[in-house]
Amino acid sequence: MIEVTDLVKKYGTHRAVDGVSFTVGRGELFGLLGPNGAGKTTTIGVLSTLLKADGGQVRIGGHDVASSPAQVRRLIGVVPQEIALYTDLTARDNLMFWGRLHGLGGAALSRRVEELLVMADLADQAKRRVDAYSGGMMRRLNLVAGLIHEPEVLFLDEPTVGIDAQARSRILDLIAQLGRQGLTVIYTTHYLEEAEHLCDRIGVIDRGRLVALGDKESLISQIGDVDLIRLSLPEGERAAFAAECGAWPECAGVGERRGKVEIRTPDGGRLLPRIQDWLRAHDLPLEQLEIERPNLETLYLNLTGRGLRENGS
Amino acid sequence: MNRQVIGAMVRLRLLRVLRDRGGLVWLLVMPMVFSYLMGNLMGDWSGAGSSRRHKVLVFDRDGGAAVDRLLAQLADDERFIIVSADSSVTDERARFLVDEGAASAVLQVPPGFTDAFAGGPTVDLRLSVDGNRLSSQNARTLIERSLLRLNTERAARGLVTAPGAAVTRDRAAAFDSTAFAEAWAHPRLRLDAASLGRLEVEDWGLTRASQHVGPAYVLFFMLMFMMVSAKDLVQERQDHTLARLVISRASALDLVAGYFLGGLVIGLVQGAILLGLNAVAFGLDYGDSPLALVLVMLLFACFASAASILLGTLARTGPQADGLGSGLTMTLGAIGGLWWPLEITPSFMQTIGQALPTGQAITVFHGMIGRGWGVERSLPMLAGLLVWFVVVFALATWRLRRQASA
Repeated sequence: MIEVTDLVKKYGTHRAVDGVSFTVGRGELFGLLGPNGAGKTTTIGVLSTLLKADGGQVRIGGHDVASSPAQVRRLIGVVPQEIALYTDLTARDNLMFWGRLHGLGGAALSRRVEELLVMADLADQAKRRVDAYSGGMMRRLNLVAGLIHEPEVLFLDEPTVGIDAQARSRILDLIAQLGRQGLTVIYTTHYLEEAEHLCDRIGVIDRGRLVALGDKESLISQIGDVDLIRLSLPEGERAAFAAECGAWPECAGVGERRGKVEIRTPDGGRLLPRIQDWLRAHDLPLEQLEIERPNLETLYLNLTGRGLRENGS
Repeated sequence: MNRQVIGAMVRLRLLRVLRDRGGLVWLLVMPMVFSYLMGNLMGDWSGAGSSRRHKVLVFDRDGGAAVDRLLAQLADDERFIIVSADSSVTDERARFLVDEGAASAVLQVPPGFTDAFAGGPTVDLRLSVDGNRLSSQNARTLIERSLLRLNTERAARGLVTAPGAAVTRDRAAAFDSTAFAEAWAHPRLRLDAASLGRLEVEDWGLTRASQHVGPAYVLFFMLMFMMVSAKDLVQERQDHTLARLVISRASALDLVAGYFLGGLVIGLVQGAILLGLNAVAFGLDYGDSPLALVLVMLLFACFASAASILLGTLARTGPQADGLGSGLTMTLGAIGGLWWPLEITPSFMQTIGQALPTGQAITVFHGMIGRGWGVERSLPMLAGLLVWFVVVFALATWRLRRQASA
């Protein structure tokens, strides 16, 4: 459904998107995961015909976005990161307007608007001005406004930014529902748990480059079946511990990050007694120790050396 | 262009205006409040209703009964107070008295006025008036009317043998058109009027302040509303509704047409309602040319709507659009003669004012109301408005298309 080949988008000399390639099949829920400034929104901007690419090719439903933007626009719906609504109007007024803009009218438009209000759980609030809504209600309305013309492809650009956990959960349920209905979705986020929970496949983007691509399991397998142990130690003891730990056969790697020693091991359970022995031998208390199973965060850390919530720019 | 898209955008704009009650107050109520207040503050330019009485100085060297009859109309009019002196005055002194505001008009009646009325030699009265003050113009009109009456009476007297006697057929036949033309061309009582000040060339014909402030505030608030709504376009950019519009079925030209026609419809509806209210509330008569009225309102609304788009594409933030919009409206209003009539400003300011769309529009209104202008007389000003519209619309289209495709 979507083919992106060597996509490049520059702002001056800065390459915001730098040779990104991926495909998304019909009915697939594809996540684009990366920190703020990684190039996710720019990629969505080009895919949705809003921005012109400086290189590469994007085809959606067989149409080139650069040469046939009008055909592409008929296929796509876009939910921008911002609340792109007329907040001085009601939810129904907004949906009626966006529907008319997409060529709907009469009873068909009214029916579609009611469907979407129910889908967004806003039917009983449809006559209230949008600026009187909570953040979550606005986000839901923002989302369904992108569906008014029943697009085949939906771009969701960080649709859960700035809302509480409960509202976020309702949005995620809504997106999952769309996925089950067979809509092709590209979903950008910097929340890895959202991508893990929702997406069939995930592309990890960093500094404009796609650094990993695949389903959740295949991505995690890229870093091997290793646990990550984080150990708090006094600053003067970290180097000595790292030197000794690196020689143990259970240790696959050791390093220091944010004041903690990080140890990668195929079996965290076997390494723990050795760590305790070392602490006892050096007369040090066990202050803090975390064991983390492999996940997208560790993958991202492995690929970029930074956490997902750190700024990518 | 996609008519459904454009229609949806126009409908949206109307809906947003109708839902904004505060905006409606500025759209329709405040212009009428301003018209009422300013119309009363600036008073009735014919002088009626003004509490101040205007002084007419009469230097009467004749002292006869005919002088009393000459001044009868003026004396009956409560706007004027007549101060008579049986001395003479030089032209320079009369000018000085008017210039200094000591009198609205100075009338010099020479000896022999009553004799001339009775059949003696022709006499010339000398009148000095202040052309800048409508009270002076009104005094002059009343004196001219009295003089015409006296001259007519004098001519009519030739038709009868004795006061109260019937006009015989022979005498009536003798007073044919040739005799009338002779009496008209060579009246026994003549007025030599000197108008001082700036309005001596052309009388603008307005007699009430509401004839100016009515249309002036219609134009001012139309422009103000449009310019202030430029921030909506900035808001659309910031809220990304513009981006959402761009990736819908709307082309860049559809967007331009939608924004422009939305503004135009609101401007025309606002203008029509306000002009109607002014006609009903203040008895304004916009003249005999509905076509000229429609053209001036249409062109001005076109200009204002295009200017709103241009400003919306130039401003970076909402407050910047607000500030620039208000400032531009104030400037165009003040220099273009919406706050005070261009006709009372120095000639170079009139030239500048009439080069601006506000000045062109209000000049047409003054012409229609006060001088009976139709389309033909209004053409130069209408052409000026058209040029403004075309230039601003072209710039607005260029800017909006660039932003929509960026």
